[in-house]
Amino acid sequence: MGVRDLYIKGLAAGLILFSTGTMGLTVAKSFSQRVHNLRQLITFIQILESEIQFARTTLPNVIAMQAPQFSGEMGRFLSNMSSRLREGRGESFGAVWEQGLQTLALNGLPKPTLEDLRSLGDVLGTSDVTEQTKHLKVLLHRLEQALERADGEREKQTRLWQYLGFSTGLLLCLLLL
Amino acid sequence: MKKAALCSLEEIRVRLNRPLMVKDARGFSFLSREGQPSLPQHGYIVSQDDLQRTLQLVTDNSWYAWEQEIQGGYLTLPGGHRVGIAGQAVYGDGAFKTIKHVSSLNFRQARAVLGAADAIIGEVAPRGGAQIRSTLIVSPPGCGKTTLLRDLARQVANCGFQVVVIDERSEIASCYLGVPQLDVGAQTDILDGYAKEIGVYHALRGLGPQVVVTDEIGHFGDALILSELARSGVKVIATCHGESWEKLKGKSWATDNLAVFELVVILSRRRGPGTIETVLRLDGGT
Repeated sequence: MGVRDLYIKGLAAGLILFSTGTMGLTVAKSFSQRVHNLRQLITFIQILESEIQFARTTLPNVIAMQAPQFSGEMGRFLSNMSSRLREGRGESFGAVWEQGLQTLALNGLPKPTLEDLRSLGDVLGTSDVTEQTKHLKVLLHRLEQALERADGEREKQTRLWQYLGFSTGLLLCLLLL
Repeated sequence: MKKAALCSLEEIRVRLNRPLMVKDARGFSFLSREGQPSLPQHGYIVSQDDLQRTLQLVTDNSWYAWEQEIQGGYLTLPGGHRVGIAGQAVYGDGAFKTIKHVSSLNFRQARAVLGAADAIIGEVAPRGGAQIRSTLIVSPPGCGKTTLLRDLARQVANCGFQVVVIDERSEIASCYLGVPQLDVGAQTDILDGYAKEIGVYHALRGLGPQVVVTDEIGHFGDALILSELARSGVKVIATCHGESWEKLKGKSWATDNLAVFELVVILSRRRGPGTIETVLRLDGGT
């Protein structure tokens, strides 16, 4: 085996390790991202509840005010909704909310949480303060449960996927090279 | 429907599972799917989805934000236009709480008539607006009392008087999110949605009015309000339901309260809404 072959094998091993390691890190990061998104969602729902309960602020105004305060998917979710509500195309709020949820769904919110959010879209803004507060409190409770689960999962899965990525890489290197 | 025809509408009636109806100067008519006048059987039938989406639009997708207005049976839109709501009443703790299963919406276009009070401003604010006479505007419903009152508030305020409008039913200034949608003058403060008895005390304690403008007096509780204003030296411009001066004087409410007023304006619809029939000076002269 020549020096050239060694270089090629070393390079290939490096590439395999880098690829599988990156894949592992990406999957691990998605668990942290899910927790981050849930935390942001809880913060938004708490603000929405206060604005409805104490200030009677309209939904388009709460969403427009809060959109710049959030980053990432949550920020995009709120900005997209705010623009569509301001355009005044006559769309129902439920339809705008449903469309917005697709942004959130892209980055790994748990399915039951997405279902809860879909149900909220059907009732948000359609009843008096007492009813709205009840709906939001139930959602908050469920979101907190989802956060607890996601946090536990993150602790377990993050390290697992980090190790798995690099270990798979090593295993492939041993088998192939 | 053409824009000119839309602008001439006075009312739009949206009733669930019934044909869409509009009213203009010629009266009521039904509209077809194409927006043309039609027979009732060819009229566009309003669906549940139409009604719900219309309701979402007028409440800005936020029913909860308009609870107080909904309890009053109507919403005010930007521009001062008004939407009456009909449905099933919900009571809680013995009081009317809200409306559910909304079945009808009635859109009424708001129109301020600038100059409606031109014919009487000289009597209400004589000597070139150097003083104000407390004035009562009397007429049956639909004769333009509120229109005249609004324009009087505007003209009196523009004469340099500090005016407070106690707008119990949001019909004078038609405020939307606290901003008057109709011109009531540059020197006018608006107490929007205030009950008169609360509004008068707030005005006297905090706003220092020279003139208080309010709609629809004629209840026994109003005696206290009027005497409080008279004691404070504040002039009053108000409206009252009544068919004629003679009939109004005969009411038991009037004996205690009419002494506050120096001028009475009687309106009718004889030559259209806002026809001024009589201007009576209670301190002498007609």
